[in-house]
Amino acid sequence: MNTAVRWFWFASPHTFFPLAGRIARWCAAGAALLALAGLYVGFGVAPTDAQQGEVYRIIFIHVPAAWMSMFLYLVMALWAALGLAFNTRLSGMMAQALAPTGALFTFIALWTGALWGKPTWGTYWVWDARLTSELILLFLYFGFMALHASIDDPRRADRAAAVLALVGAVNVPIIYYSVQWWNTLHQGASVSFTKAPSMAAAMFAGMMLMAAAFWLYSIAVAMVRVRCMILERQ
Amino acid sequence: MNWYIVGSYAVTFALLALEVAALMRRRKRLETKA
Repeated sequence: MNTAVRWFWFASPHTFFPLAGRIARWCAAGAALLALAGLYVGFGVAPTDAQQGEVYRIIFIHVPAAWMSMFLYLVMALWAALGLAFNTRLSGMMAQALAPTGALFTFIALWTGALWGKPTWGTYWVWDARLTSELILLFLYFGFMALHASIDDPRRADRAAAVLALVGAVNVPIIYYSVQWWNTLHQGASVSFTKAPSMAAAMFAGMMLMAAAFWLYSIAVAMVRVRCMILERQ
Repeated sequence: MNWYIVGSYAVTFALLALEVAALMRRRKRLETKA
């Protein structure tokens, strides 16, 4: 059996069901441990910020939640594209399973951003490019879920929602580069792939631990949700 | 106590817990139906 055939073997909901259960258990345990470690580093090890004081500790959930909101949308769009290209049943289910968690992380990013913005900027909300494009991302998640729910046949719903997911993917680079393309109140990236993080090592560690915890949480929740969908669609 | 931090963390973990609880309830309902 070559690799390509094995991928399609796992694309069968029946084959994927027990594997998803095992992945969910391991990822849930990992997420809990990493979240505890992240909270410990974030509140017990990371120093107080010289300019912002204690309130900067919101970034330990705000930044990972914002990353997950964008990343989950891209993964959702990828599954949607795979579903359209190969007509695999599991792809549509995976895209559908990721949407509520993506919407949740988008809301968390907006909520924690507002609570960070008030003491730091003096306002909960401004219509700047970063905040507005993130709000549009939340509406795209809602649109995806609403469109899927409005079509009775799940396979047709998968295909219709997949098109919306793919079109909406254009918003993700807009969110990411908004702080470079436009003059925004939101600060630029403190962490990137190309340069060293512009923050203390303990702050960076706390943020990365929470990001890893959110990542594993998302996988665990998506796996449990896709198992429910497999049972419901049977 | 910094209420901005409390509000951020409390709402975040409450929402994540709600999502997990809703999924567990959905799974349980499916198991009893099967």
